[in-house]
Amino acid sequence: MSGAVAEMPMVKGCWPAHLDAFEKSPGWSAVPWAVGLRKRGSAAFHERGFPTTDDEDWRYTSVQALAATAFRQSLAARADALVSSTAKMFGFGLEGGPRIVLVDGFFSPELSDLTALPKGVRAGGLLRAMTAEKARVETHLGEIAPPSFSAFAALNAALFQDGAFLDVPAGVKVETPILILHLSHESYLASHPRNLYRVGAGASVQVLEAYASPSCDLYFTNAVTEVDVERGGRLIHGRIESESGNAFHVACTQGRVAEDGLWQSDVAALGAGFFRHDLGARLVGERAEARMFGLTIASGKQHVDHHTAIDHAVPHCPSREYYKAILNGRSRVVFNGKVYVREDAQKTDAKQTNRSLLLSEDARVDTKPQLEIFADDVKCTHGATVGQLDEDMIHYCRTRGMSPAVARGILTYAFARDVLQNFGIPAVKEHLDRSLVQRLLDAGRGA
Amino acid sequence: MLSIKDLTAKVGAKEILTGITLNVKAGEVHAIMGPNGSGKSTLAQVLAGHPAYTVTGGTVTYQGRDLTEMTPEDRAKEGIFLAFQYPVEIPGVSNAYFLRAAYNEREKQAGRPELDVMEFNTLLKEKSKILHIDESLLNRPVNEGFSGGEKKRNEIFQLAVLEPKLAILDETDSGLDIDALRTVSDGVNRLRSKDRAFIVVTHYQRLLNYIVPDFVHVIAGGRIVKSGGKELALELEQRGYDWLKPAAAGAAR
Repeated sequence: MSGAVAEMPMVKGCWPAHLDAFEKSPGWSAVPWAVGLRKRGSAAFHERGFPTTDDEDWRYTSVQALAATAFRQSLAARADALVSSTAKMFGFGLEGGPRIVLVDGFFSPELSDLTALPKGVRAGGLLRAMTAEKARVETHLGEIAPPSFSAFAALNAALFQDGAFLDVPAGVKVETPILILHLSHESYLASHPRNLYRVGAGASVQVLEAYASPSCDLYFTNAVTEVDVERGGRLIHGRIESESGNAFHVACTQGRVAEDGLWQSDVAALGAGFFRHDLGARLVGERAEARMFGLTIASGKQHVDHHTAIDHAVPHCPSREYYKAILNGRSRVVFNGKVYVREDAQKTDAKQTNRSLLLSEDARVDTKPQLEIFADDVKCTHGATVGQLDEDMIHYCRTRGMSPAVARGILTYAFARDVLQNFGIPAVKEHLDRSLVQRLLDAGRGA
Repeated sequence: MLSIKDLTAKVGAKEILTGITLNVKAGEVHAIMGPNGSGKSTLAQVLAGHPAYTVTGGTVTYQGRDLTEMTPEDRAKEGIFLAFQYPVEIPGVSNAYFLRAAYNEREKQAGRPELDVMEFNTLLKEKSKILHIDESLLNRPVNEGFSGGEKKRNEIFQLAVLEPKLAILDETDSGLDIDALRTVSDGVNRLRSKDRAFIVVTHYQRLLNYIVPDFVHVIAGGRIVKSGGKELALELEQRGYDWLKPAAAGAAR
């Protein structure tokens, strides 16, 4: 055997061309101070290319099909009548409230409504904020989710053209939840929206970041969201993936939470044929708290991969993580939950639970809790189960008069609802409950 | 209403019921007593159609039909209710939702219109008042995080809502303190009627101070070894079960 290992050819797909074209366009240097970030992103992507399944973080998720697709670049926002009627289709329970709407990655002032926000709250498109609110953006952009995070974060840093910006100043409590709606319209289009949310000291806000499409087109959304919760701030952050069944969606959501702050992430993964989410929270001040709730409903050939990480960097921080998945058809779900407890992070209280329900023999789950604990006085628990519906529960339902099919439907609904009831925005929780009940009842009874 | 004749049943390869004969008429309350492992809970499970138990012989006729041929859900829809010794927890579904699903299955069977959420909630509130059930219980997930007493009370609450013709209580008194026992028994007594029969499975005579039976049967070794009136329960309280065991062994030979 030869000692030489053949090097895998690096896969970069259509992206060197996208990078090249964008670098020559006015968009690249529209905001001069961001050119450095773009260059770092471009360099990082050129250096590493796409991950392969040899890469531990991508072991169960192949990006081959994504890398092999020739996408088009998005060049400008669309705001025609079709888009505007589409935007009205998606409210997720927050109809009539404040909304930031983005179309194919571009902020649309016409479709957005920010009139009802309290004084001092800055909300809208990221591109505008990069100039108008430079001081509030520059210190954070690319700092919380750096281009080095992954090939996709690198591409986003280089190619993003807009996104959502939200800044809630210290002490301001926003009562009404804000909808941040990302719509995708164009077939074979790639968009790289980049969002930044800042929650000031003692401020609080609820945000629903939703990705949706009225079509069943094939396209690619490569989103990055950076979150900064300052001392005593509170962010309830819903995220709904409800895109086309042929869409690729890769997302990197990273946040840091200062002392006494709270960041709650509620993820509903319902759409997209391919969805990869890297969700990471760094608890950097004492008593900072992270909560991560996730519900995945997958069917057909859907592939959903949740990579989560909670970094306990300081003492006395609690974290809670509860992810559930329901799989039908030939779908595949990956859960990887990292919890780091640094040497100084004594009295950490971390709990992680992942449960998956397999409704079909051809579905598959790969779940991996990954706890790395370097402090000795901590409370960390984790649990993972993969299985079918409980026979005792089915029998109990039958003794109350339900057929096995009805019982399975109800128990599947119950399985989802058990995690859904933790979601932090009441109107969104109710919307999901209402809109998912029939789908779950049917999925459970095998319809 | 219910006629059991020479019923034998096994779980796995083990014969647990060795020949039960019992007749229950509408309006009657039958207590089934016996030592641990005698088969009394098995009888309750067999009547409700638990898939782990296989009927190997004898007949069970319920309202003229062969009960052993019916699925658990058909038995329920035809009016049989088992209050479980160990009620199952179902996280994620509220008591109210669960009960409405069960209630409407029965209504559908009877050809009556199903109740919507509003109508059903009104019914639930009425029933919860009668049984002194805290309304907050209605919105909690089925049995999840309930104390032992709450679970048993919830079973009786389900019984009250589903209004069965034949109610089987499987050791409903086990794990209850005296106050919970009284509440549960009060609930059962309110539900007694000339159209409804009860089979009350219990290890202790204590429950029968509150739910006074018309008949008491003692099961040992998988068969009824002695039947009598309510005074039999008192005799058992004083003498224990041992004096009946030889008879059971003798009869089984």
